Amino acid sequence: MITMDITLVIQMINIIILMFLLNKVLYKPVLGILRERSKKMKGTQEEIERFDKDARLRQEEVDKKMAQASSKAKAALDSARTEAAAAGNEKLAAIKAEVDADREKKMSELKSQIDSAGKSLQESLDTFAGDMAGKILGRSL
Amino acid sequence: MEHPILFISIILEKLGLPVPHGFVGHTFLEQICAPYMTYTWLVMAFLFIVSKLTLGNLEMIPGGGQNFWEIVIGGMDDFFADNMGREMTDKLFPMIATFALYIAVANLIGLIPGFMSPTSSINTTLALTIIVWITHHVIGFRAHGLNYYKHFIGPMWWLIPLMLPIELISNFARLLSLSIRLFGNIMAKETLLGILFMLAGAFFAPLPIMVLGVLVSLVQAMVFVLLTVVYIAQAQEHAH
Repeated sequence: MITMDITLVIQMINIIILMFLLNKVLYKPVLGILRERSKKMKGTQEEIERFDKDARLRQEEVDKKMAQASSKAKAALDSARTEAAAAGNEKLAAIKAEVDADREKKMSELKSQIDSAGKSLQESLDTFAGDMAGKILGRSL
Repeated sequence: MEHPILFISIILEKLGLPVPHGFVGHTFLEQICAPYMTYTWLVMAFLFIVSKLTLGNLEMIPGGGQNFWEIVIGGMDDFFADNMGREMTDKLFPMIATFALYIAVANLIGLIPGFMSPTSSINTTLALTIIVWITHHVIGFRAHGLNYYKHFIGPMWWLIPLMLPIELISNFARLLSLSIRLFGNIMAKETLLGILFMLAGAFFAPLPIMVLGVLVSLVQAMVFVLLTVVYIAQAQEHAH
């Protein structure tokens, strides 16, 4: 039952032949494709990381630009507001000055009229007084 | 006890070749025509043709056959690399994977009526074991040079007279344990199946043993490969 003979050596040769055969048709191709796939996966993973990093950098850039634009806009708005306020004040001051000048002119005119009226009244005061006294007395003075 | 029906033997007999009516043949031609030899070639042809047919053109996204082989070969590759290291796995993968596939198929093929397991002969299992035994010593010598002898002398110099014989015997016993474990299990399965088949084959008497046989076949293939990996890993390690 347990007999060893030349077939022991033949079996060893058989197994070695099978190793070479299977290595050629089975192990090499399958291990090759497994390695290729893992390499590809690794490459894709690296690419994903690179894209992710790029996207993050771009986002940061956009954020930075947005912040810059926002601060620029704010500054422009502020300066426009100040300019508008200054221009308004200037115009207001000019109008006020005009109005003041006009008023001064009108006041001086009025004053001169009052003065001339007062003067003419003063001049005709004696005549009026004589006339009034003549009327009260009923005779001329 | 002779196997009841072995179709290759019947074909060879019809061709006029001398198939031995016993476990082994006497002339060289008889020895070559012994069932375990012819069924070994059948298993070899089966493995070669199946792998050739199922791996038509390899694709990045695997189909059915490629998927199966990727799981089997990828799984073995990871397992060997975990235990022996990547470098040794790349060198020895074809050898150990061939043992795994050959033993598993050779064990399982005996469950089909008309076939027999080539591993139910000591010549087959011993041939595999001798390859493993020589390989692990070659790896030991290549890894440690002449210092490899330290694996056999124990931890302290004054224990050498005790440890050296023990280590030598245990190392040579690997030849026996690896080969006889596989041979014994599969021969027992084959013999039991043969007896049950002859006694009450019509009543499906061998069926429970066939179920057990599937388990035994796979477990024995796994044990053989596991021990091979362990021996090689040990030969690479530094002696304590």
